[in-house]
Amino acid sequence: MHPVQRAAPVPVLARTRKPRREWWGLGFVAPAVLFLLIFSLYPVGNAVYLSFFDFDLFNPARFVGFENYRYLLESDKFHNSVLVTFTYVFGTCGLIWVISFALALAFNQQFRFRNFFIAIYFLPVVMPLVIAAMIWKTMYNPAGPINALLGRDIPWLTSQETVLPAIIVMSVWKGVGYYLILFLAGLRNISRELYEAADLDGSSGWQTLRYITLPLMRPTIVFVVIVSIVIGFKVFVPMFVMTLGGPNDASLVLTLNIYETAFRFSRMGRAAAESVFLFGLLMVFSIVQLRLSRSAR
Amino acid sequence: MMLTPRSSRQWKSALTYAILSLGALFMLFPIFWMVTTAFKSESEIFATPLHWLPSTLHWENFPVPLTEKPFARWFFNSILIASSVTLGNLLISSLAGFGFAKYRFPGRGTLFLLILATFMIPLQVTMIPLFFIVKGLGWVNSYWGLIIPIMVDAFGIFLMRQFIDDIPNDYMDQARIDGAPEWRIWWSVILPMTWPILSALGILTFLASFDELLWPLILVTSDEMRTVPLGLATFENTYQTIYNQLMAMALLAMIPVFIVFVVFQRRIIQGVTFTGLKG
Repeated sequence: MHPVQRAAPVPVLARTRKPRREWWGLGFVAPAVLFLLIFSLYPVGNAVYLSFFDFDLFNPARFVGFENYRYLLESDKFHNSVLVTFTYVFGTCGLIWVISFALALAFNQQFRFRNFFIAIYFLPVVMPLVIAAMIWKTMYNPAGPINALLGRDIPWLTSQETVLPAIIVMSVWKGVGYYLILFLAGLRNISRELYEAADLDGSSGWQTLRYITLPLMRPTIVFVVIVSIVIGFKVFVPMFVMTLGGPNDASLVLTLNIYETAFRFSRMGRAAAESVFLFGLLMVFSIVQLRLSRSAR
Repeated sequence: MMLTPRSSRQWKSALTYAILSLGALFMLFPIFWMVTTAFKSESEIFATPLHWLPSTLHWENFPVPLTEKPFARWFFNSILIASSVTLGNLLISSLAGFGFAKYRFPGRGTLFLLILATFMIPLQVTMIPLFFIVKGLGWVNSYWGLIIPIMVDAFGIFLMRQFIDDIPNDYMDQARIDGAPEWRIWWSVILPMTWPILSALGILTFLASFDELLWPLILVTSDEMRTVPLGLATFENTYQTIYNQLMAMALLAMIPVFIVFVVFQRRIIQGVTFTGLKG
């Protein structure tokens, strides 16, 4: 029995046809790439460049080398806004992770009105942030409903101790619905049989959670953590609407600081340096998280 | 072997229900507050003891801000800008997603990573250079300036690519055999098949664009070019805030969002779920 000869060489025409078609892909992605190059990537490089100058909207730029960065290292105001930002991000995210996850566990089964409930929890997510911030601002008024319900007289947005927790609560209210859906998506992937088997083995709720649910949810959890932290660092609207950074810069997050430095104090070079710092922060966080998620696999 | 006793399970679900309901009330309360405040008279808003409901419905709160401020124009601006951004985003993201998913060209991996990286870039980093770019183009305080720079984002491209990746190549091959040029494949084969994710992305983009404050804040210099969020924010930051009118305006602004949500709620949640599955 001799092997079948598959002899005929591939015709030249057929050989060149396929690669030519693949170039269409480049054409398809070109608009997007072009857009992001011009309006996203180039501006980042430009911001780095601008951070070495001192300028505003009217006067010509003056090269100042690392002076702006020296300001970052020395300025108490800047250090404070870094601290405020971190406090806000991890306060909000920590609460959101726990609450959304707990909610997702609760919603991961059929019960009456389940979809109706999900819609209600998602409603704050679709509400425009500006409107949400305004409503909460009126609610936080010392003569408003929150104090009325608590029976106390707390100066929520005008006291340095309570302003960040107040904004954090609003942010958690606004965000849980979104992460609830993300966690639910992840939970859906875990097959029922695993839970039934665990139940038969006499596993308690906590054990099931720890040894089955959490490990299997790992990719979703990583995704949620990264997305929530990135979004957290970008926060701007609540502080702008509710407190303008006050009282006494107690809610002056980096983004608001950058905005004011650029457009209120007209120090655009300095603002550029601050924004480069923020960008660096985000990059570091994302890379660290991606590494962590990959290594422990 | 241990099965959870029936009564304990019933207790657990009753408790869960109670907590979920309380949570739902917490979610809804600010909306309740917005609606009731919109109808209160000025003295009622922060009266003590607190008025939970308006004594009568003060409908006059609504037309007053509408006449004082070009709210209708703001509304038109927001809808125009949000629609344009959405259309542009869907167009470009679906094209790019298709290209990345179904074609192998040199630089594909690098370009995709580059695009993903832009997700990390907050507007605060790019806003100053962007402002000068837009200024150079003569687009300050114009619709072009408000639409084009923020039209494309990595999220949409990522989403489309993940979804299109799942589509079997057979459909494309069949179309090719039938003699369709590549772009035709995108238009007639891929687009219809991506309808679920396309519509979800469209709605999410629309809502996000409607919500945008920072970019209009920087770019807009005249009252008529303001968008709804910007208009509300500036109405509020003036000397003395008239809360009931503010809430009335906010309520009006909320109505289209609310309608979109009620009608498309299932689609929206499906879209978010999909990002979670593919993330």
